[in-house]
Amino acid sequence: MIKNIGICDILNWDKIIEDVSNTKPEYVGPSHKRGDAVPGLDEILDMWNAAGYQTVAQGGTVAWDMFIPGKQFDQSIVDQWNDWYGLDCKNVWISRIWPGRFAPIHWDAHDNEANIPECKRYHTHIGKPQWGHIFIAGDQAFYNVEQGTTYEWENRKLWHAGTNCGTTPKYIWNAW
Amino acid sequence: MPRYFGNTKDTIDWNEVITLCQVSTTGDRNTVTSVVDRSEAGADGSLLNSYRDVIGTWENAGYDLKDIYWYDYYPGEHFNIEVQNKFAELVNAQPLRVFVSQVDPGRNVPYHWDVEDKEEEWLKEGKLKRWVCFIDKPRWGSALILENKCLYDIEQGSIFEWDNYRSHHAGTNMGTYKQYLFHFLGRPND
Repeated sequence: MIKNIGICDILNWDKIIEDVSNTKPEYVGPSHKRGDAVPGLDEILDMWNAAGYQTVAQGGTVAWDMFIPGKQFDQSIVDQWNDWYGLDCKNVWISRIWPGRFAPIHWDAHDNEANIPECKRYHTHIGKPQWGHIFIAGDQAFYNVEQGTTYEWENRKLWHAGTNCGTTPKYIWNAW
Repeated sequence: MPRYFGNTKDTIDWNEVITLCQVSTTGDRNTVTSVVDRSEAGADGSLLNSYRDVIGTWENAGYDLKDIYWYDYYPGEHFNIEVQNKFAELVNAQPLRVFVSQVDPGRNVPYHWDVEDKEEEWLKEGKLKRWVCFIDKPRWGSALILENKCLYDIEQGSIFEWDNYRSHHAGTNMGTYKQYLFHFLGRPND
């Protein structure tokens, strides 16, 4: 179950995107690999492997850039976003997918997975609608979504994926 | 905007068509190189420029051109020609270019329109129209972006009529099954 919880229009998303685009991402995902002790990871990697996915480093198309508050963008942006929605999300990042790259079907298996209680997750379409920017969560495809629109997911472990078959990089705000 | 046209599930056995494409080893593997080679050899003038524009758009956007490939399968060669004939009856058009496309997981056929070598010749005989049919069951992560719409989770057999046969479109696959779509460019009978 995914719910539209409104548009956050107090932040200048274009400026935030411009600023992060001038930084080096914290890292390029996926950050986990086979053998890492992360519950749920093997299921995802098995699925990718069976479907033929490979990371860019392996010669494939799987890669996404990660930007972290306090590093590539200011923590105050997170605070304003939380205030706007009345939330208290502590885990926030901006993801970027370049044209032709993929974050294939997955859920966000975390290093500390075993100790994280069930919780909701959120994503915000921080870029203006752009041709070819597509995001799928649960059974819903998000396309041409108005800038600043945030969706609440019933559960952090919802399967999702993103890609970009357009001509400009795609930025999404993620939080839980 | 693409317009829902109807459903073919009671008329055409699409599962059989998909199976034939899946087991075929002679599908037409399209890459940027093959498209360039074909166009540079056979096209000229505005047609050649159109090919170059499409590929130039991908290059300028930063695509790694070697990542882009897809397969095409043809009626009478990879699956029964009767499929094309039945579809032509349904949409009431003469078939001009008909194929099934396959996009693998982790692949995009990015923003483009289909440059047709014979377009000028076909247009002399009348107007052109295009339809797409979602021949597989809905598959997680498999989508077609057509004009300003993202067509996702579409019932098997559904046909959509394009606003314009030259519309920009892209096939993309973030899931785990190959994506199969049936494409029909034709000349309407009426």
